[in-house]
Amino acid sequence: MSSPLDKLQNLPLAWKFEPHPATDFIDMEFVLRDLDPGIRNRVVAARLDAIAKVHGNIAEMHKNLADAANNISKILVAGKAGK
Amino acid sequence: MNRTSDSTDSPRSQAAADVVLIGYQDQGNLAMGYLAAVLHRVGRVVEMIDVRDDPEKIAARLVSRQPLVVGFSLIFQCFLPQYRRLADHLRSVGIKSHFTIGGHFPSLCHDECLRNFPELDSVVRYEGEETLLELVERLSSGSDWRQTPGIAYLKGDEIVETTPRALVQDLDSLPFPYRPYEAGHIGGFATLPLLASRGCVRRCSFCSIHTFYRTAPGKVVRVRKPAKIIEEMQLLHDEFNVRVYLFQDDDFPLWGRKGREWADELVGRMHDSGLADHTVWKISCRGEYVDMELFTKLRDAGLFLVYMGIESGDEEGLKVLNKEMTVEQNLEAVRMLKELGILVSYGFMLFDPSSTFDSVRGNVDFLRKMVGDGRAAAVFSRMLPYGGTPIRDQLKKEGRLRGDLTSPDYVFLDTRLNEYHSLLTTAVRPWIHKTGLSYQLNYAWDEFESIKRLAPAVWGADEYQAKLRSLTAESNEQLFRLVEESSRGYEEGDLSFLEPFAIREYCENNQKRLLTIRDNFVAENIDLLMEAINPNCASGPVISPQVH
Repeated sequence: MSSPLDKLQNLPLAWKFEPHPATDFIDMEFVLRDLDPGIRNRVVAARLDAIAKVHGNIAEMHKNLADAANNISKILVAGKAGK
Repeated sequence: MNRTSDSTDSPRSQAAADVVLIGYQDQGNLAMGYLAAVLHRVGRVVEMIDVRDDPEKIAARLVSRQPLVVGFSLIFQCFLPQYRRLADHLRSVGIKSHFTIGGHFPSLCHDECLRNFPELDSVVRYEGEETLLELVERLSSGSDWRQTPGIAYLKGDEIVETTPRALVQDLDSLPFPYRPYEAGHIGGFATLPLLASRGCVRRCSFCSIHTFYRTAPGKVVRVRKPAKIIEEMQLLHDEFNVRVYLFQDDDFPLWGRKGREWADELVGRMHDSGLADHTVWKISCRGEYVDMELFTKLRDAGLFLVYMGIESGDEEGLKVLNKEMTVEQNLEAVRMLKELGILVSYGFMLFDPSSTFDSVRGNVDFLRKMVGDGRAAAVFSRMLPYGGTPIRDQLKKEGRLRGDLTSPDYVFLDTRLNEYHSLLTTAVRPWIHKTGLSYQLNYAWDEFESIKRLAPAVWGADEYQAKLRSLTAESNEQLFRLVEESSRGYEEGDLSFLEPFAIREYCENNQKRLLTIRDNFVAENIDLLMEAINPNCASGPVISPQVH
């Protein structure tokens, strides 16, 4: 029969103390600190690229609208002159 | 728990996987388990992989199999970089499968997700069982996957959302989740998660769950039939020797008359089936559901632990968080649970967008009232503005939203709190972080309560409980004083209270004390405890009130 000290020093694997509470531990503020900043930066860079593209498209659209307005104006002027 | 698991019980287990699901496997991943089970039902071969596995090994597995679909299961946006790194690697080694992603964040912020994660082909939005199944069938048959209801994808620079898919109305129509892994453990007792319901009717401003369910068509809260829950519990007991069940519902459905009738039936079936005699279970619910009559019945059927999102000890804070609860209601719920001898676990946001130095100290006063007696370890965090939450939109409107897609943040109205919070967070890591003292103490409580109910003949339980309570109370008080003194000190320009070395030393010493008293208790009872985890053991729960 094993002594109390033996039992203490040789706890079966099933009863080793390995803490993990039964409830979720959603703890983003700590998780965020553990993230690889390099990867985060790459994701942010990709996001900024996407935003830049959207802004580029909007600028392109405005340019096209301005061109269209200019063309319409020229047609109207030409029409008036024709009269 | 095994992290990477083949679907060896599938009829087509020798074939290459049709679908590979990748996500976190902590406490099992019920979302992935349900998806896999639905796919299995139609004969699909599914493999589940933990996202933290070595990317090289994952890639090696997938290269040879070239599955039709690789599905990423993501809840919080902070994990997005990790998922993207893996997807990037998988593409770089030549995996051409359809990449899709699902979960709360991708469902609610599908546009940001698609634009920032170019390896993705689609996003599966809201509950994914039927959508993923149809997506796989379409890809398999060569029909146009872009017509699948419930997805979003990028067409050039344009985000396309297909017709929304309704929520699963009858949860019992779903097969039981696929669980190709070993059970987790509390002490030596096997434990696995399951669901009794899905959805939450409340509208807490910091939470994306209600937005997730309300945005999709269909009834928000759906409850399973007690008979089916019992059937699943029995199966888990027979297959995995589960003795501790973790109900992971958004909000355990105890609300109103219907909720009580449902609980009565569940409790009755737990007794009839014998589960109440040799298993225990945990739920998460709102404090307003707690009353002596109902919770006495639940306790007698094995309820040993209740998690509540308390979140604030300040009326103004509760309003900002839209908890629709009062400080007094929360305290009363905790008081009743203690009186019934049910463990209390809780979420608490010491800091929220309305915080001031005074409210932080007020919150500490509240925590002292709640757990100053040492019946649970003190924990707290800071509210963060997740994607898809009303508070994120509000902060944006107020010009206080900071951070980026993967690390959302905000500034306090009293800007001095920004630096104080940052210093305090670093200082209290030895307490609050995953390996910290409070975390270990709470685990010790979960383990002790399981032992007390499942192995009631243990020797020295009262003595161990008293020591655990004393150590917890002492640790809590030390943490409370640290916040009180450091916040006052900070206001007066004194940062000495936040010296990390002394705090770390205190926590390490007390972790050693905890381990000593815990291991002595377990060693004294080891023969009995080994017998108690024997699959044939059927000790009944202790149903008399306990004094912690």
